[in-house]
Formats: sequence, structure tokens, C-alpha cells
Amino acid sequence: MAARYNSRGESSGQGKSKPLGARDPMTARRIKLAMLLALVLLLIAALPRKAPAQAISSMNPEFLEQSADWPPAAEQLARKIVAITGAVPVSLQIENSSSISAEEFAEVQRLIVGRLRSAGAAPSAPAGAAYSARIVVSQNARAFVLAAVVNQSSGEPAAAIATAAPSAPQAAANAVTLARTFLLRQDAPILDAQFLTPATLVVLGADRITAYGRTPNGWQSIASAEIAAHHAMPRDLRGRLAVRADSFDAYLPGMVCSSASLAPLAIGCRDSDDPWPISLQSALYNSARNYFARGNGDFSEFLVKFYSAAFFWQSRTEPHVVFTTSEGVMRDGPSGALPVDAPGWGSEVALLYNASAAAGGCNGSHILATMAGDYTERDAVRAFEIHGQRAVAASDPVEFAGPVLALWSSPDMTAATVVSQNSKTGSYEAYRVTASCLL
Amino acid sequence: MSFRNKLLLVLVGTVVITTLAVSLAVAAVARGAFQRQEQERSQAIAAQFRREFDRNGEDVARRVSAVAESEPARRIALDLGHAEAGAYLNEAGQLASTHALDFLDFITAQGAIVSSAEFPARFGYIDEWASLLPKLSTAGASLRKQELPNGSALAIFAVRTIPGGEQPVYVAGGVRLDVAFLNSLAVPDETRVNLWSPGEVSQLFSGEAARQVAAAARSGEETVVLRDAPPLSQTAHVVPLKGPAGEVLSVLTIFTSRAELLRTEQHIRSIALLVAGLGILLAILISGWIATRVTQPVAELVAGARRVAAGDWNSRVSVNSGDELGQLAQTFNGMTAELVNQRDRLVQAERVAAWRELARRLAHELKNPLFPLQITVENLVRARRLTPAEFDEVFRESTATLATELANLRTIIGRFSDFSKMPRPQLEPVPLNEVVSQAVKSHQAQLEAHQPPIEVSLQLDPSAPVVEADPALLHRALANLLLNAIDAMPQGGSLRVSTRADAACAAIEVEDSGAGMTPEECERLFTPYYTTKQHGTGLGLAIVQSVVSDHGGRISVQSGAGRGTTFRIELPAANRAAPAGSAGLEAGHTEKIASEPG
Amino acid sequence: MRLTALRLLACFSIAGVCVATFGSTRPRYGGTLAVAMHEAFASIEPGAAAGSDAERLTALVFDTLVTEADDGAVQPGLARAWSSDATFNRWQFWLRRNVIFHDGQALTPELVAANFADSISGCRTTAVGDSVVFQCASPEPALAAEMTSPLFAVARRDSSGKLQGTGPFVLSEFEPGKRAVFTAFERCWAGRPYLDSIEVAMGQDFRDQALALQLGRADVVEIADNERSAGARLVSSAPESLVALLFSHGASSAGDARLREAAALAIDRAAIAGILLQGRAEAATSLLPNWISGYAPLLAEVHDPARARQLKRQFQAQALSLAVASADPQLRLIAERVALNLRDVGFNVQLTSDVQHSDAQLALLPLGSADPEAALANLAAAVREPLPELRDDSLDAAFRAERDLLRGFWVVPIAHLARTWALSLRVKNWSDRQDGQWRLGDVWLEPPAQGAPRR
Repeated sequence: MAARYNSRGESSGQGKSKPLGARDPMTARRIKLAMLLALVLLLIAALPRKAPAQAISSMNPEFLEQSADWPPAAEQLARKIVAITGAVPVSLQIENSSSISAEEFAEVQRLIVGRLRSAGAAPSAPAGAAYSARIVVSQNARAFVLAAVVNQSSGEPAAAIATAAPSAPQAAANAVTLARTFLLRQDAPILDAQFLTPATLVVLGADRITAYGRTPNGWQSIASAEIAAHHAMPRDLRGRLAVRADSFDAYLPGMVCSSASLAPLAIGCRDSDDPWPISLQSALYNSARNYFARGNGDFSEFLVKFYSAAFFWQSRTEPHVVFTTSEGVMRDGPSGALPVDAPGWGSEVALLYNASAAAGGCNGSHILATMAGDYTERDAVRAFEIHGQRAVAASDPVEFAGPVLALWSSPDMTAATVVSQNSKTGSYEAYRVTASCLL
Repeated sequence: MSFRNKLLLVLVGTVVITTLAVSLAVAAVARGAFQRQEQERSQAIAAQFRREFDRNGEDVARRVSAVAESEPARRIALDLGHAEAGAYLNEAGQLASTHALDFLDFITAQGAIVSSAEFPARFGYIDEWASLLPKLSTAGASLRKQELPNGSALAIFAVRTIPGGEQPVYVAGGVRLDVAFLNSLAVPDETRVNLWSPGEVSQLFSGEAARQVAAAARSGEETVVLRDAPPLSQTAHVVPLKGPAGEVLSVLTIFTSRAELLRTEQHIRSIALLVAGLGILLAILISGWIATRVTQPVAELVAGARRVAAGDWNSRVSVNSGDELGQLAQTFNGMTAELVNQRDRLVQAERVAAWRELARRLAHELKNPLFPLQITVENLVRARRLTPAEFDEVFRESTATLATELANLRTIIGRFSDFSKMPRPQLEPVPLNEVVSQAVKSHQAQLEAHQPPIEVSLQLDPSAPVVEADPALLHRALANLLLNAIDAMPQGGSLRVSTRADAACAAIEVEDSGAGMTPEECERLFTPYYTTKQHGTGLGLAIVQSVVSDHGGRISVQSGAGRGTTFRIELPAANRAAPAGSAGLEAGHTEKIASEPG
Repeated sequence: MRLTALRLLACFSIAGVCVATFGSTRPRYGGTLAVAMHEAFASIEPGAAAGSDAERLTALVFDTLVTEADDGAVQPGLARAWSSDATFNRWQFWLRRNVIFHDGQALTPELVAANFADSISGCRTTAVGDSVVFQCASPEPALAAEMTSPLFAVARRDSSGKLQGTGPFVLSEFEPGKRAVFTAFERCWAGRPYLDSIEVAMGQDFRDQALALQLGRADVVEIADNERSAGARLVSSAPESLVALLFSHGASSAGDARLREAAALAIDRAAIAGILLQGRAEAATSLLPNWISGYAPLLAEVHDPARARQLKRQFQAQALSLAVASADPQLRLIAERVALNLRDVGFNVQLTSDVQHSDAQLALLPLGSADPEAALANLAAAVREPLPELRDDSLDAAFRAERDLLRGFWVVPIAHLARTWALSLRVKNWSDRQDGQWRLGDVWLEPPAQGAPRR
């Protein structure tokens, strides 16, 4: 089970663990993009892993979630402190008693120190300071509070309090509408379903691959090939289809089955630990479990295992990645993985372009995520934008009649395949989900 | 004390002592038996308490084991160390209620309380049994003083280990040991069982008992003391109750009323006393009979001796036994016969002596006047030779002297005749005061005419009784005393005549303030013809003594040189007057000091 | 067009599923909400209602000129707008139109001015046009915030002497200390409430309340411990009450400030809040919880039994009687723990129920407002200490006032207590407010399933 955490590091729910995988798209644009992304990832991975709080000044503001308007509050506090002490060195002790992250707290500290220095009350060591001030970053129901108590040599300590108005709540830059299209239903498990052609749907099951053809009466099975596994499959089986124009590869724990021919459908399976394609990248899958292990290299120090990953863009040129792990949702950061406040997220994420963007409409990509719960509960899929370290909902949830067991992007990432198991009937249902801008 | 009484006393005393000794012994034995019974009863109650304690302890241990085996307890044991201990704060309360325990605590291996049913606020504190938990978890129930929010309570506690945890987690549970528990004991009506704290139990007692109980409460040793708190008297069996570490936590007292014992003792004592009393009474009667039988001859001997002493020398003792008493009686009889003979001979001799004395005194008295008579006659004879004128003068003087001396002779012979012809008193009831006042009145003129004057004081006791007396004789006796008193105060003085009534007699006192008399004179005062005066026959006081004797009274004199003289006559009261006709010398009660007539 | 249709389709498709699951549903009218309360009170009239639960019910019947948002911000009530002069001596509240009392009488500025005629000492009220003006002799920077309190609700006595309000419900039955029934006011200015009526049972034991919820006889009950209630939803307020140790000024056994300081240092607040109160409270060393003031960390005191013992050792042993102000078992438990803590450092503490003659008492003090100044004023009144004058409505002024109240350790905060209620699943639209205030006018009840007995 994946656990989810809010920005204070407390567990807020449990998610479903799911495998994921996607192969690089075959268009040239996508190949270039993939190479660019790989380069970026390598660069990111090469960055030294420091404590997140240290490099705040160099941090891209888009990573720093600002909870409040700090500068005026820091200015006010500094003025009040100097009104008590005068322009003399002051020994400072600054504590965080609020919900802001360590990075944001470091920024607040920097602001306070800077304002005090500007006002003449330069921070100094306790030995050389005429006054000592204890500053607490706190918050009440209405605002964040910078509260300071200044100890004087004689008399009662004086207090100085300033408030910082909370930042406006995050809103999605591009709200979208998700559309759900039912594909097919079968009693046997469905691990993935991808279009080979608009009229041919390949469905990866636990022990066979089936090709469905579109008919006026819906999808009908046209060919099926059994998967001969030589080893036991893990519980919570995951699988991934990487389709090409006229062939496909099916990734299963510890094996890969490739199509030899389509008509009749013939597949060849081999034992393999090849990495699975995940959202423009690939990752090594733990064949005895239900998660990916990156092994060495990128993010391995912080992301020993993850259930799902998806790339996203906050601007047109900068791709980022978000992971769902057993410690919560993480994203890439300048010096390592950063936690993301994604309340209610499950374990499956997938990248989704909105259709309008492809047509030149609204910009950006979205992360599709399942909701927290277990396999006994109904699930939903919702689109999110990642703003700094917070996941902001960008659409209404799309409900399903049972738990979502698989969420995979289509090769062009303009759609996602959602597999859920109907809680009432027990049958497996495959859907296709797309996004469109709200105009 | 008479011999009979002594003998009776000895016999009775012996019986009494024996009876009392037996009674005391019986009472002591009975008391001891009852006390033993009482002790056995209180020990039985103490044993019952221990049995009930053990039974309840087993029950508590069973329930605590059930708690330890329960699913919530196991969950606590498994979760402790992984989850917040505070999550189980209320578990103990619910489980205690389910398992009907008054107290229930969950305790870690370090002794910290995780959850407490009776004192939830104590979580985190170290339980007082922390170091004993491993040992107690495999032992039976123990006594414990459980701390509560407002005080403490005594309880039967058991400890068990909850299985399954990485580290041992203990559950300690118990039930109250209180009045309800004590009420469950079957105790007799007059027995009270209580539980006290060690510090306060000794306050129920006083003195040595308090010290004994305090020592028992400290040492943990059982003891039995008496408690006398009126109106109750109780035996207190003090049983200190100890905790698992040997400390005294509470003291059980079993108060058994001694009322029954005392009643029984009293009953036994009463019966014993009754039996002893009856026995003593019987012993007295029998001893009395025996003593009487034994002492009768002695008493007869004594009576005979008394009679002899009283003058009846002819009394004989009739004891017809062959033992020593019989011999004694015979000897007594012989002695009295001899005494009679000797008395007769003595009386005869005394008569002869008395006649000799009387003749001597008469001769002496007569000799005095006869001598002058003889001289006068001789003078007359001689005077025949004288001239007629001289013979006439001598004749005249001699005849005068003869007449005077013949008058004296006549007086002496008259008094002697009077004395010898003292009439027997004619007794009649006479108010004493009246007689006395008459006597004083009859000499009033003489007293008033006396120069220098004599002051007369008449003090009559109004309660002076009526006496059986001959008024004339009594008057005469008083007159003699008054005349003697007047004669004793030629220079004047004071004369006091008084009457006084005593319980048994009436007294008349005549007191003068004359020169008084010496003891020798007093000795002979009542002897006929003894006198200290220049004139007189010396029979006055003898007549007074005779009159007083005839009235069954007695006369005494008290005098001292220069201190005057007091004559005291005691006469029996009218109903106790001595029979008339008592002889002058032998009868009556006369105290006299003088022994020769003056 | 296509997108709109898609959106509509999405909405419909979602709506079809969300009726029973995640989607929003339109409120249903009707039903009787059954509420069980532990507190029992004799009146809900403004000014006479004692206790936070009584004031919750006061708000059903009587409206205030302004209300308080969950974060403490002042919002319109019967007044649609308000302002003050720069010195906070003159406040003006413009009244909402078309507001009527339960008996049909219209709400007028004159009636409102009369309602407040003697309510606020030092302030004179007059009706000016469609507004009411408060002219105060001294600055009242927190007047607006204070006016959100049910103490200052608007009410009017009718000819029969009965108190009339403008709230969403009418008090139709009231048995002091036992039962109250409220029925919907059809012509409420904010709209007829969804519920037909609300029945309140007072003085209910916590266990009885939990049982009533389980049996379906109550819809809203108060939870005293962390027992999970199956088939119920738990809502908790932010800490809304202060548990504090109040020393009596006449007590000789705690006459020295060092003794009281020793007591303050001896109390293990973390254990009381975290374990004893099962995490439903926060350890408190300040009068106001941090979610109201924001400066509570500045008033933090550490738990220092060693220092407490050192202070206590300077004084001879003397008995200290500690009383519990109410029969609340929770409070009793806290008192027992406090007594243990004090005994650990050398106090000879005796628990008693005689509040009048005790040396100290443990009291539960409602904060009454999310506004710092108003909450401080409420606390100062509750502990009978004079509240230092607030020069302005800044947090600095509030901090200084609170520090003055805490000086001398006559009041020793222990924990800030939240309230938790369990709601049956049929209760809808219950707003989960930090301050624990109820907005029962917006609550509605899920009708029972077909065939299930209706209440």
C-alpha cells in the first residue's frame, strides 16, 4: 500500500499500489522530447544531494510554495524589534511553529535577518549582543504570525508581533474537463488496454493477450494468445503494453511478450528484467513485488521504490516528474526529491495532455491521479496541476464503479487507459479518459 | 471471745476457707475454659477470614488471568512500544467493568502504569509493585493498599503477565477488601470484625493494651488483648495483614464480647457463692452444734465460775463425762464446796472481826466521854473535902461536864443505834430533780446565813429521770452531803448541786470548793466513824453509802487538796433500779477511795 | 458548445454516481434533528445563557448584528455593514432590511438601539436612519468582534413578556435543564431552515449519548473519549475551551507567587493533553490557543519539576485544597492528575468539591470567540480578573494584555480543549468549524431509506 503525506509529513491516507509503464512515442517530436527529458533527468540526478533547506536562495520559485506574503511581515517585525533595541547587534533565535515547509521557513529566516540588518540590528553571536530576541514563526486561524520576544538586561521582555496574510489559495491555471469512454468489459483481469489501431484494441490480461476489433455491437475478440509464464506472478499483478504501429510489447513481472504476428495473433514471451516504459522514461520493475525500483542512478537515494511516475510541465520547456511512493507523493527538486502535498491521491498517476492543447487551445499538461482507498472502495480519477509542492485539482473527479487497478497513458499521452474492477459484478472494465479545456 | 466462739470461728473459718478456695478454683478453671473457648472462636474467625481471603484471592487471580488472556489486553501487549501508550488510557476501566474487578492496572515491564481503572490519572507513574511484578505474576493473590484519587483502599490483588508482547506487560487487578468482605464472614452476633490502618488501631485501646497492639501492628505478630470500654468488655484478637513485601498494610480486629463470659462467670460465681454460702451456713450450724457440744461443759464450768464469782458459792457444775472436762467439772465442784466452807469460816471470822472492830470503835468512842465522867466523879469525891462554896462550884462544873458527856454518850449511842437500825428503803418512783431541789431548799437558810457566804448553784438536768427511791432516805443522804460540804467551806465558797441523766442511770453531784481531801482521806471516807471534822460521829457518809447501796446505786468521790470535793451518786433509772434490800456492805456499787472511818 | 455539452455530460454522469458517493446533493427540507448534550442549562436567553452549549442554542433563536467566520473574521449578520471612527469610540452598524421577529414585528434601528441600551457599559446606543450608532466613552477596538457573541444577540420582549428573536428557529418548548424544542421559522430573513424542528435533550450522560446515537435516537451527540462510533461521523472543533488552575486570592497556602509558579512548573501538560484527553486537547501555557493568537509559543513554559521542587522547598508544608468546578468527569480526571503532579514536587493537595472555600479550583473556561480580544475579555470575566485596557486591536496589545493576566500565576493554563461531536450519517451539511459554532440553519437530514421507520 502506498501512503500519502501532507506537507508536514503526516500520513493522510493510503493509496493503491500499481505498476505503470509507457514506451516512448514513435513521433520524432516525442523522441526529441524524450531525449531532452532524459538529459534533464540526468542533470537533475547529477546534482549533489543536500539538505533541502540549504539551497533555498537558488531554488526555482516554482518549487517553493509560498504560504503567506512574508516580506511585509518581516519588514514590520524588524521595525518593531529595532524600536525596542535600537540599531544595535541582536542575538537571534528563530523557530518554526507553523505549517510551512522547511524550505519556506528558511526563506522566512532569510527575510527577517535581511530586514533586521537593513534596519541596523545586525544579528550577532550571543556573546557580543546587547539584546537577544526569540522569534517564532507561528500561525493562527487568520494569518501567519511572526512573534518575537526581546530580552532586555533589565525589565520585562518586550514583545513584537507581525502578521503575514496567507497567500491566495491555489487555483489551477488550466481547468479541464475529463471525459470517460467505456471500452470493454471482461471477467478476466485486464492489466492494460491500448489501441493498436483505431479499430484494434489490444488487451493485456494476466495469462493472455487478446485483440479486440471494433464492431457495431462494440469490441469483439478477434484473436487471443496465451502467455506462458514459467514463474509465479506476484500478487497485485501489473502489466504494461507498449504499442507500435503494427506490433506491441507486453511487459509483465519478469517477462516480456512481444507480438510476432497479429493475424493470427502470435506472441513470443521470454524471461526478462528489461525496464518498463514509464511516462517517457523507463524503470526497472521488481518482478516479485508490485513496484518499480530504480536501482542505482536517478533519485535512487530518495526513491528506492515507487509505484507510478508521470512527467509534467509547469512551463513549456521544463519538464518535471512526480512519483507516487510508499512515503507519499514526491517530485523532482533541485537537490533531490521533494514531497508534494497531494491529499487524497492514490498510487496511480499518468501524464495527460489535454486535447485542446494539441489543437492549440489551452496549454500545459496534467497529471491524472487515482484517489486514495483500497480495492474494496470505489475510485475516481482526477486531473491535477503541480504548483511547487502542491497538487492543485484541475478537474472534477471521474468516478468508476470500483477500484482503479491500472492507469496508463496512451502512447501519445493525449489519453489514458483506466482499468477498474466493478465492485458489484467483479468484472474488469477498461475506459479511455481524455481531457479538454474549459473555455 | 468465748471458747465456743473461738472454736466455732476456727471450724467455720476452716470450712469457709476451704469452700472459698474450692469456689475460686472452680471459677478460675471455668474462666480459663471459657477464655480458651473464646480464643478458639476468634481464631476460628481469623481462620475463616484467611480462608475467605484465599478464596477471593483465587477468584481474583482467575479474573485477572482472564483479563490477561483477553483480546484487548493482548492487543495492548503487542502494541506497546509501537503505538502511543495513551491510546489505552481507558482500556482498563472497560475491562475492569467487564470482569467485575474494582481495580485494574496495566503496567509495563519497567513498572509504568499504562492504564488504570480506578485512578486513570496515574498513567505513566511507577506502580508501587514495580520491582515485585515478575515474582507476583506467578504467585497467588496478595494484599495491597491501592492508592486512589482521594485516599487509599485495601484490596486483594493478583498480577499476571499478558502473553504475546515483546516485553512483558503486566495486568494487576483486584477487588476491595472492605466492609462488604467482612460482612460475608459468618461471625456470631456478639462478635465484631473490623479492618484498621496500622497507625490507628492502637487508638482503640489504652494503656498496656494499646502498647501491645501497637507493637503487634509494627511487628506483624498476632496478639490478643482485653478491651474494657464500658459498658462493654471485649476480647480483641489483633491480626496484622501483610503485603507481599512483608509490610503491615492493615490490621484485622476481632472483637468478641465478653458479656456472655462475664455473665457465665457471674453465674458460676453466684452459684459458687450460693453453694459456698449454704455450705458455710451449714458449716456454721454444724460447727456451732459441735462447738456447743464441745464447749457446753466448758460453758457450764464458766457459768459455775461466774456464779461463784457472783457470790453463789453453792453452784455446782453438772458435767457427766469421763474426759478432761468431766474431771475439770468435778474439780470445780470440789473447789466451790471448799470455797463455801472457807467463806463460811471467813464470814464467821469477819463477823468476829467486825464485832471486834465495832466493839473497839465503840469502846474508843465511849471511852472519850467516859474519861471526863470519871474525872468529874473523882473531882466530886475530892471536892467533898472542899468548902461548901468550893464544893458547890466544883459540883456545878462537874454536873455540867457530866451532863455534856452524858449527852455525847447518848448521841454516840443514838447514832450507833440509828446506824444499826437503818430502815430498809421503801422504793417508789421519785423524780430525781424534785428530791434534790427539796434537799437544797431545806438547807437554803443555813446556806444563806453562812458567813462568809456560800454561793449555791443548782443545775438540774431536765432529762433527769424518775428513779425508784425512798424519798426520805435519799433526802437524808443528800442532807448529809450538803452538811459535809458546808462544813468543808468554813471560809465560804461555792456549792454546786447538779443532776445528770445518762443512758443507764441518773447521777447527782455535790461539789464544794473546800479544802479538799487527800487520797488517803478519800480512801477511808465511807468507813463508819471516820471523820475529818472536829465534831461529828463519822457515820454520816457511811449512812449515805448505805442508802445509796440500798437503792442499788453507787457513790464515788473525787477530791484533791485545795481543789474541793465532788461526791457523785449514781442511781439506776426507774425501770432499771436495783432490787430493794441490797445489803449495805456487800451490795450496791460503791466507788470509794477512803477505807477507814474518819 | 461541444465542450459545454461535454461538461454537462460529465456533470450528469458524475451526478448519477455522486448521489450516493462523492457528489453534492441538494438539501432536503423536513425532519427533526435530535441533539443530546451533556450540559444542562436553565436558559438560552441572551445574557442568561451560561456555557458554550447554551450559547449554541441561543444562536438558533436570536441573531447578532455580526457573526464570526471560522477564522474569527467578522461577517454580516443582522447588520449588513459597519464601521468605526479612527479612535474606535464610535461604531455604526447598518441594519439589513426585511428582517422580522418571530411574532412578525419588523426589526427597526430603534428596537436594536433599545436592545443594546444597557448592554455595553460606557457605550450609548442611538438609532440613526437605518443604522444603530454606538458612542463609547473609551476606545472599543474589539467592539465588532465582541458583538458576534450570543451575549449581544438582538431580542425583544413582546406584550406577554416573552422574548422574541429573529433567528431561523423559534423556541417552542423549554424545560430548563432537561429539554428544548425548536421549530423552523418560516419567514426567517436568511430563508426557512431545512429542518422542521430540533429537539435537544440536556444533561445526558456521555455513555447514554453514545447509546442513543447507536440506536438512532439521537443525531448529534457529544463524545468525551476516543471511542469510535460506528455509523457516525466525528467533527471536532479547534480547541475552544481553556482548562486552567485558578488560585483563590484569599488562599494562604498559595499566597506567594513562587508557590504558584512552582505549581505551574509542576504540571505535566503534555501528558494531560496527549494521553488523559486522548489528544483532543493541546497542552496550554497561554490563555489563548495558538490558532487564535498565533503568539502562544512566546508564552511557553517548560515542565520543570526540579525547579518546582526547588521553589516549593522554600516554604513549609501546607495543605492545598483543589476543587473541581463542575461534575464533568473529564475535569475530575485532570484534577486528579494535577494533584499527582503537585504532590510530586511537595504540595500536600487534597481534592474537594467545595469550590467556595478551596485554595484553588480547576475550571473549564470557554473562550467564546475566535477573536483574540473578545476571547481574552471572556476569559478575564470568567476568572474575575481585570482585563488590561486594549489600546488597539493588534496582536501586540492582545499579547500584552494576556501576559498581564498571566502575571503572578493566579491563572495557570493547562490545556486547550476541543469539543468533539458524533453525527449520524443522515446529518448533512454540517459545517466543521474550528470554533465549534453550529450553523444548524444550514443542516439538513437525509430521509430514511424506503421501508425504514421515519422519525
